Amino acid sequence: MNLDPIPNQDDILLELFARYLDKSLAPDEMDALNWALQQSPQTRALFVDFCTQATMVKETVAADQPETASAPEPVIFPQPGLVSWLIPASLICCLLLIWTLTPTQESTPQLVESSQVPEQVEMEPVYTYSIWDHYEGKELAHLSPQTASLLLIPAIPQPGWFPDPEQLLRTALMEATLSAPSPRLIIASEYFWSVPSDEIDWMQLSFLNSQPEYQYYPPSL
Amino acid sequence: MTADAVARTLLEDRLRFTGYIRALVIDNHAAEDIFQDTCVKAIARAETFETEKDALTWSRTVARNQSIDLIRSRQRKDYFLSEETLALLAEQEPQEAPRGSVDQLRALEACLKQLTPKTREVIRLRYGQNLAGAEVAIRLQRKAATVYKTLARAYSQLRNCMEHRLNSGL
Repeated sequence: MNLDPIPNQDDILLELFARYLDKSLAPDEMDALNWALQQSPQTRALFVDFCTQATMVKETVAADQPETASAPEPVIFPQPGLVSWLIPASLICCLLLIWTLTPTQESTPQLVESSQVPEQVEMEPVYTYSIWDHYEGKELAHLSPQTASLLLIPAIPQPGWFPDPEQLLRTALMEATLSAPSPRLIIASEYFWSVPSDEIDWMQLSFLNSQPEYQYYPPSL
Repeated sequence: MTADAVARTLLEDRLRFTGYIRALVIDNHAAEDIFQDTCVKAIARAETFETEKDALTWSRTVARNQSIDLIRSRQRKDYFLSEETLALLAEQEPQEAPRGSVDQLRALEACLKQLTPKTREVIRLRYGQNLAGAEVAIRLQRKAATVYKTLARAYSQLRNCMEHRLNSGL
């Protein structure tokens, strides 16, 4: 006789978590999940870890198969005077930012009450474009002095990615240069931590350092 | 802290951070948006943080509150976790220091290859093609419950494998 093993509590919880992320829990099951999460820190830790792993798996698997039903065709950005670029669906992203504000002098950070939003930092509009935007078919907008902010950063370069991260950086900076006289741009990139420096084409990247109005992260760039 | 230091701290914690937000809002895109927005805000006030923990704690609070606002603005409020649960999750201290997302992704990539072909196919359809569990079940002619069991077991296998690889420096 072939009997299934009796599932232990963690197995039941993990299935519940998987269905929660799938948005397929019935109301009474949702109540059960809430109840379970309120019972022990261990369950909450398991829950957050499960969701974290799901996020990582999604990034990794998505990077392995750019041609999926849910991923749109690569977006082409025609730029007069510029090269058109394909943003690869396989890039693992981390896209950051630019801001045009000087950091404000504020008091020591404080935790706020659970339902209160921390005091809002006055910011000028920030434009960001991530790999998820790409999956949704959104086109990369032209940068402007007011909203300049852009970055597409793959965490782990892999064979077959096109264009490579250095090309993406150059495109982003050319955009910023053409559209804004002196945008202040911050680039944060896991890429530069993941690739040995001798594998980066520093000659091609050297022009970055010739534009002091940009700020880069890591600053050693 | 400097803006650079805050950026680096948040990026190193990115996977755990977005995983936490995703647990709240059940939406990858929204989680990425909230993370990026939180980064911008945290960097803008970098000088007010004395330690990495200050920056992470403040950022988690900002992200959690943005998540709550997002949940409140959605129609299917009944599906999301209760605010009591959200508050408890926010108090949850990470059990491990961030390992760096690059190392984690490399370990995960290797561990995924060790799963059985059937499990990898379930993962590919569920996460790679973003199909719901029920759709994966139809595609593979299995029961939905079997798909969820497979995903749950894959989690445990991947976690054990990644711990082994990261701890042994593979």
